[in-house]
Amino acid sequence: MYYILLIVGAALVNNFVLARFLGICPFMGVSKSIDTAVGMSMAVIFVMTLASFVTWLINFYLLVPFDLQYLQTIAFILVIAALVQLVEMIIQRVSPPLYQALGIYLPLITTNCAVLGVAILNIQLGYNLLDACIFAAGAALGFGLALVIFAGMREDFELNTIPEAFRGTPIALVTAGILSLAFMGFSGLVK
Amino acid sequence: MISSILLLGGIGFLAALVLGISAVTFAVKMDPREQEVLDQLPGANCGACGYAGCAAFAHEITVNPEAEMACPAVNEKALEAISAVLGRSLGGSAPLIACIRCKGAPAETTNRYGYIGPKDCRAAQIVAGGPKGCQYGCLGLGTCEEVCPFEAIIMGEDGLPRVIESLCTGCGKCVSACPRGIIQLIPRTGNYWVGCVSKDTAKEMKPLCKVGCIKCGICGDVCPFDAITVSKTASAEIDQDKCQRCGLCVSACPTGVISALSVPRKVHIIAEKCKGCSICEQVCPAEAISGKVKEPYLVNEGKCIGCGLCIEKCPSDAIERIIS
Repeated sequence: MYYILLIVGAALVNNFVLARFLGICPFMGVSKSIDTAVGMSMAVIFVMTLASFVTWLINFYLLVPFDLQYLQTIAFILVIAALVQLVEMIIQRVSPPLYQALGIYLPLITTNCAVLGVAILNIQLGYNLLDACIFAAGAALGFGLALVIFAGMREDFELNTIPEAFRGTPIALVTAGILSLAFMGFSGLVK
Repeated sequence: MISSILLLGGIGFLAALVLGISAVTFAVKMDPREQEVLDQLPGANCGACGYAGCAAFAHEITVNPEAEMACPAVNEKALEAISAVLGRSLGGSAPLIACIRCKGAPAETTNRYGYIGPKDCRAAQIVAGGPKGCQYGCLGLGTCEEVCPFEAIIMGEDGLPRVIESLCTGCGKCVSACPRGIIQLIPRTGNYWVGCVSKDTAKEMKPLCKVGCIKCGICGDVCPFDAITVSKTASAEIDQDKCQRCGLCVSACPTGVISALSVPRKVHIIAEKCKGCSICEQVCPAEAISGKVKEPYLVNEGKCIGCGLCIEKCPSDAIERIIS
């Protein structure tokens, strides 16, 4: 039950994009079509879970013993970037189909703020290793959900007559705001 | 201070070491030919080949010895270069070009209602089948222009799209985008097409469009090669395999709906193959071929009408079609 609540809390109540406002760049950039949004979501789920695992270890087995927590941000960025590069190489060799599916999105999100955000939140919220991984997977699911919903809405814009001043990014931002309000309806569901 | 430098430096060094080692151990052997093939492809990532972009197709054609040249947009020079890189001859499909099969500009046609929705043919088509009186004609909102990855289609001042022949690669993006299905791909070596796809009879068409195919059948009658089929319920169709580009149908058509590519087609005699039999000179209706017996004959391009009769009659396959 605790883990279900953890996932629901991370995915819906405190949705990374719509409630915490992390990872807005890919949310705006890769949401023009549902296909690319799904590819991006898959890559985010993968990287966020992996990054949480590694950064948690780094924090508690390297930074804390040496009393260097103030280096958290830079150490995490360094480790996540290196890790994603490594994983990309391994996937390309071991599983070409998976490599094709994740495609360009994998290297794109190495230092995405949602990825770094989840790594830091794991530490701030005092999760243990398992909690951290599940929290990250839930958060990434929420990111993917928001991204796919938003991409679906943006696809429909193509067929609407939008006043000239709102065309393009302005209407996308307005829509993102309203979508965010809708997700506020989940607040209070999980503490 | 020292410990932080050591720690971060250590992590960085370790990461670099691991990445360096795995770059060697997990190296995926990329066929160097793949990059060379990719350099020759158009790079528009239009997807007409059926693969996810030019890189994916370059990979497929390099690793799979049975893969055919699926890129319709590749030009002859690039095709030769790719064949050379891969060491096998890639026939490829005959280069295609898009033609717009509607001549019903707004000035020539009537509308059923005023349309003020988004400027997109596909959207207009959803609204009660589009504003145009003729249910087969061009809606003129420029969706083909928008989807063309090579900027080869522009909307003319008359409100109809126009294909820029030198830029069109025959990728077919516009064909699938057009909700009316009036864009057709024809071989670049072809020359004529019927600028109408209406299934309306002449009587039904009269109030809707002044320039459509009225199914009179004259073109079918004048065609010496039996390449045009006409029926009461379909616009004339030119069979591009049978068509010999004589152009008789163009002048015979009473509504002027048969159109020609603007680049004329000519023939060329390959001097090494020509045995000087003089058959081509005799069959040429335009007196464009001349020469001495037993010496290579020559084509006067100014007179050649590109009908191709000589190609058919030549016993030594010495005549080829060229784009002038």
